[in-house]
This record gives sequence, C-alpha cells and structure tokens, in this order.
Amino acid sequence: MKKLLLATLFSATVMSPVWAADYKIDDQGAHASINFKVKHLGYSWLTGRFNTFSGNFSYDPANVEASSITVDIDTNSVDSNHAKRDKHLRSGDFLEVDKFPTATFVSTRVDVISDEEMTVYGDFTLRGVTKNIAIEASKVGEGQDPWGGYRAGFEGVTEIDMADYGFATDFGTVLLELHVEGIRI
Amino acid sequence: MTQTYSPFRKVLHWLSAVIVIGLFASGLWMVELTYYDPWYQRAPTWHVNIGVVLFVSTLWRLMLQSRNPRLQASTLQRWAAKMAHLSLLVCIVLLTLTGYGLSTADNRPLMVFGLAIPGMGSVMPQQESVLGEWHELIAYTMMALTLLHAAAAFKHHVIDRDDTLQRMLIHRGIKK
Repeated sequence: MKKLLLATLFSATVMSPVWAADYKIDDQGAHASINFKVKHLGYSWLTGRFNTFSGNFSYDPANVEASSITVDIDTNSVDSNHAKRDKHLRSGDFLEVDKFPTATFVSTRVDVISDEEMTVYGDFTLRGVTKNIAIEASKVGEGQDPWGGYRAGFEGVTEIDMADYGFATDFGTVLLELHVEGIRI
Repeated sequence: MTQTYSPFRKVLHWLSAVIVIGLFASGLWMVELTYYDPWYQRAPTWHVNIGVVLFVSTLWRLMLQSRNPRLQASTLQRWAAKMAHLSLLVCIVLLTLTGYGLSTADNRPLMVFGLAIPGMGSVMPQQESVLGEWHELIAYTMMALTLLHAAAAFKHHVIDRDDTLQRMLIHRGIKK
C-alpha cells in the first residue's frame, strides 16, 4: 500500500503524465527486437528475429487502457543466423516476401492485469492474412535517459499458428517475443 | 586429314556436358524437395561438390584452349562460335560465384567433399536470396545457350555435312 502510494505520488509529481505520451520505438539505436522461435523437428527451439521494423506507441501510466501500439515489420529482414535458411524463410514456402514485404501489428484494445502487466489485443497481418491476437505484455521500466530524452520499455509474448496465416510449410506454433523501448516524441 | 581434339579434351567436354545438364536438373529438383525428404540435405551437398568439379575442370579446359583445332568456317561463324563458347564459360564461372555467394553469405565455410572452403560473407543485403535468383536466371540462360550449342553442332553435321561435330566425338580418337 505504501509502495503504491509512493508510486502514485511519484507519478503525480515528477512525471505528471496528464496526457498519454507518444513514443517512437528506438529502432535506430536498436533497443528493440522482434524475435521468434519455432520447434525444429520437435527436438529443439530454432530462434530468429526480424532486423528491420518500426513503430510507435502511446502510453499513459495513469490510463493504461488508453495505450496503443502499431508496428511495421520488414519481412525481408528475417534473420535466423543461417543464410540458406533465411533464403528459404523468405521464399514461397514461408514468408513469401516478394508478395508480402510487410507484416503489421495494430493494437485494438489494452486490458490491464496489474500495475505492470497488460494484455494487448490487436490485428496482426502476416502474409496478407489479418488475425486478432493477444500479446501478454509487461512494462520493464520508464524514465529519463542520460541524453535528455525520456524512455519507456516493454516486453511481450504471443504465439501464432502457422496454419492460420496460410504458410505453405506448417511447423505448427510460432512463439513471438517482443522487446520495445520507445523514446518519447 | 581433319584436325581433332585430344582424347582428354573430348572426355572433359562430354563429362562437362553431362555435369551441366545434371546440375541443372538436380537444381530444379532439389529446390522442390520438402523439408522432410531424405535428399533435402544430401542433394545440395552433391550439387555443390559436382559444381566445384565442373568449375575446376572448366578452368583446366580453358588452359588448353590455345590447342583448339582451327575452325573451318567464315569469319562471322567463327566469331559467333567464339561468343557462344565464351558465354557458356562465363555462365559456369558466374554460376560458381553466385552459388558460392549464396551458400556462404553468413560467413560459414563452403563444404566441398568435406573440405572447408572459407565463406565470403555478405556484400549486399539479403545476399543469399538475391544471388539465389541470379543463380537460377543464369542457369536458365546457360541451358538456352547449351541448346543453341547443340543445335549448332547438329546443323554442322546434318546440314553443312562438315566435321565440326565429328571431331569432338570420342571414336575419332587419335589426333590428326
């Protein structure tokens, strides 16, 4: 209780977030990553990531429900640390990047679970197919950075079924792990 | 008396012909294999092995070019034949380079008969995908040139009734 009171006082006096602040995901400084993992033959996890993406979010600690986020992912930038596999992942068997160069996530609703935890619902478009997904997200931290900016960072996990998005090759469920740090704009 | 190629050159030529067609066919076939196919790993390994054999034997053949028998043909025909042969040669070199570049864009070594050839790394974004497309395009170009090459040989044999094809055939054996 005392902690909550302190936190409220802190946010009311120091940060005074009267309006929801808008943030740009720090892709320039690469303080964000979009990682995936999928089972290989059922024997191990294969991990990879998308190197190129951009996005914005809006976040107000006093009114977390009003938060929103959009992210555009360049599917060409898929990187699994193996050139021939990346080539395969870009091909028609998987991401078909010639036809679908971008994947997007646009949030539609945010449910607050606790102080630092929330569920972000939104439309995820991949291979031209749009499905509503839920990302289990939590705030990692926020505050001034040493260079005169203000940052807030979150992490989130979700999973998608390859079959839902019309992948020619279906390896079942893909886990997506998201780390975003935004700079207030 | 007709001039002919040495038996060694003939063997290299026809072996190259078989390899070129084999590599093209295996390339078409292996990219369609599913992930769970027993050949999914094996086919590309052998495609690379045999591809390097072709490259080395082509360099070898290139060094023996100066001993080519003189073509009995018009200047234009000689020039056309030279261009066609040069194009085939360039295709083999480009196919080797693009194959090497797409296989080793992540700096992993290229395994040739179990021997590790240092990888080249990346010089362009999405190198493996870009070079993969080039590799395919050049392969089709080479097949077109191969058809032209074969058609020209038959034309000489059937229409011109000269010894252009004859002198590359094994049974003509001994030089001069």
